[in-house]
Amino acid sequence: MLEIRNLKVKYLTHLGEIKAVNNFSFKLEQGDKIGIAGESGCGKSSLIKAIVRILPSNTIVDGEIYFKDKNLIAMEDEEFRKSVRWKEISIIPQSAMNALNPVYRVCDQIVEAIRTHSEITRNEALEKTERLLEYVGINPTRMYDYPHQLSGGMKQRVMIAMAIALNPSLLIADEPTTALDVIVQHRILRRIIEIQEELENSLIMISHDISLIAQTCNKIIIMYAGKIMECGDIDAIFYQPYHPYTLGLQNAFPNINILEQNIVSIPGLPPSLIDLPKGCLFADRCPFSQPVCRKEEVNQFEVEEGHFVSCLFTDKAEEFRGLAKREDTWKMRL
Amino acid sequence: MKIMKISFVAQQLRILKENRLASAGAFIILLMILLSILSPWVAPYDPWKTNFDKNGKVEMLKPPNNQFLLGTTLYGRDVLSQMLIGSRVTLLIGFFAGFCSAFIGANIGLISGYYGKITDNILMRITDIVYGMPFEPFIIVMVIILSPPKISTIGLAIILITWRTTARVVRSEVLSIRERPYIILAKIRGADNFRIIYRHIAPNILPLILVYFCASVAWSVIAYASISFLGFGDPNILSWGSMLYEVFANGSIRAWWWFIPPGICLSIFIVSLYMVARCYEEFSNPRLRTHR
Repeated sequence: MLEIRNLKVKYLTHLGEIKAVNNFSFKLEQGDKIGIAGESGCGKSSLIKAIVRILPSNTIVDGEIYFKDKNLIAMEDEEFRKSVRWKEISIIPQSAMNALNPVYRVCDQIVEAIRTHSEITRNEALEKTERLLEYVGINPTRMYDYPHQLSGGMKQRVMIAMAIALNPSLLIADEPTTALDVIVQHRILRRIIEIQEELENSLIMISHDISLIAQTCNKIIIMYAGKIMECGDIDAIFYQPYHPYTLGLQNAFPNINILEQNIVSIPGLPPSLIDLPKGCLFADRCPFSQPVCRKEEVNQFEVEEGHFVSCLFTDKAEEFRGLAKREDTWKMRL
Repeated sequence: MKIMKISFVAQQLRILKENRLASAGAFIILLMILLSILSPWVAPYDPWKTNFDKNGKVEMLKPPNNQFLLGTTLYGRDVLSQMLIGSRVTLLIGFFAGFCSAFIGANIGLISGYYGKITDNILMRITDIVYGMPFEPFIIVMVIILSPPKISTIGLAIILITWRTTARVVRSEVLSIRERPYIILAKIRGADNFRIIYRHIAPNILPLILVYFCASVAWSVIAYASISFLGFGDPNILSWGSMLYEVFANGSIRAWWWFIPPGICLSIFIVSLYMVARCYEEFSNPRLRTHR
């Protein structure tokens, strides 16, 4: 349904070209729930912005984004606005706190979203709004409230109601639960998944919290410096990771079954996006890197069906997994 | 559940009520508007009529007395009546030119700030050119070119200059608001440019536009008075400015009752406007609040 081929997003700044997304390719089928994980600044948001076309004017977007056999990048602005925005692709934004216009009541904003794309009367749209709010667990009488009269969790749920108002085939949740407490977070995530399963649309969830993705999605993409390091089914990535970066990330998460566990982090910092290294982007921080890693760009290898890894040493994965568990493996590089 | 619906007017009244100075200002402005509307009936004499006393002599430069509450002019005309009738033109040109310049300025600011790039560049360079024009000389030249002097030409000249400040300020506010998440989200929702500008951005800067509307009214009134004072006003229309002009043109500077009333009225009107404007400024920028 959504296929991204060799997507590149570059920001032109006075410091030079910032390559936020580099050769990003992946495929999303109907009903897929895919999580995109990565540290701050790895290009998650740039990717989303490229899909919904809200990048600033100093950006260069290269590659193809096919959505239902249409190239979104080549599409005319007006056509994109009328036929794709919100109707087909909608977003649950990161900052629900500021995502509602303070001068309008909640119902006005949802009604506006509905009426922009469908020919129904205001009263019908209001009825629909009532149903939508009930669906996300908000008392419909609250729809006449202004955004400042709602709590953060309620605003987030209003955003979810708005996002599903037109039953879009692709729902993008951009860190939908940041700034919420764990109980509300859990409730909202459960709601998103329930809705997604009921409407049978696809979901892209962005987060830097891998455990959250594991809970909700069936596929995961591990991003690093604008590239896919590893992607595949959740189980495959969690129990059979291949890429050293994934191995490093695994160490950084505490295991509830092991007491007094030392959390081992990956040393170093991500490469500068202005001046990317030649070969594997992770080579500088990888404890297993060889000179050959820095020679040329590493392609994705399919290690098993649907599981792709951008590493030259997929055959040594078993050995890496053992070594990566040891703390001194990661310290040696410092 | 009862739906809380606050109308625009009720909201404005509530804002004014919270601020004593502003409500005093609003009261004075309303009173002046009322008096200017009723002036043909309230005015005790015909403002253009030369009054004679019992002996047939002109009531020339009489200080305030029982018969003429604010005295008479050099030609025996009643100052109070002149002042009341003169308020009509002054207020009319103030509100009309003020509204137009705020309207034009707000629209140019919104479009310029929202679209950015070439549109912004062209509109802001035009604003720069207008900024480069000296206010009074421009109006005088306009009036001379489009002679004979009429209020409409003076009003037009005032509008052509005063929109510049509103445009600049509104633009800068739009630059900040258009990057807010709710505007970006409105775009993702598929709102078109027109809707984003007028439904999503404009209401957020309305208090600011009202500040500049009040200020534009004040500038327009001052400008019209100065133009009339310099003698470029329409000689057939009475205004506070033209009264001041006549005092000086006739060298009757000693007749304090002739020029002090229109002068004070002008000042009170302008101060009242600024008190209301200040209240809106506080409303749009709560950091200005010093009390409470």
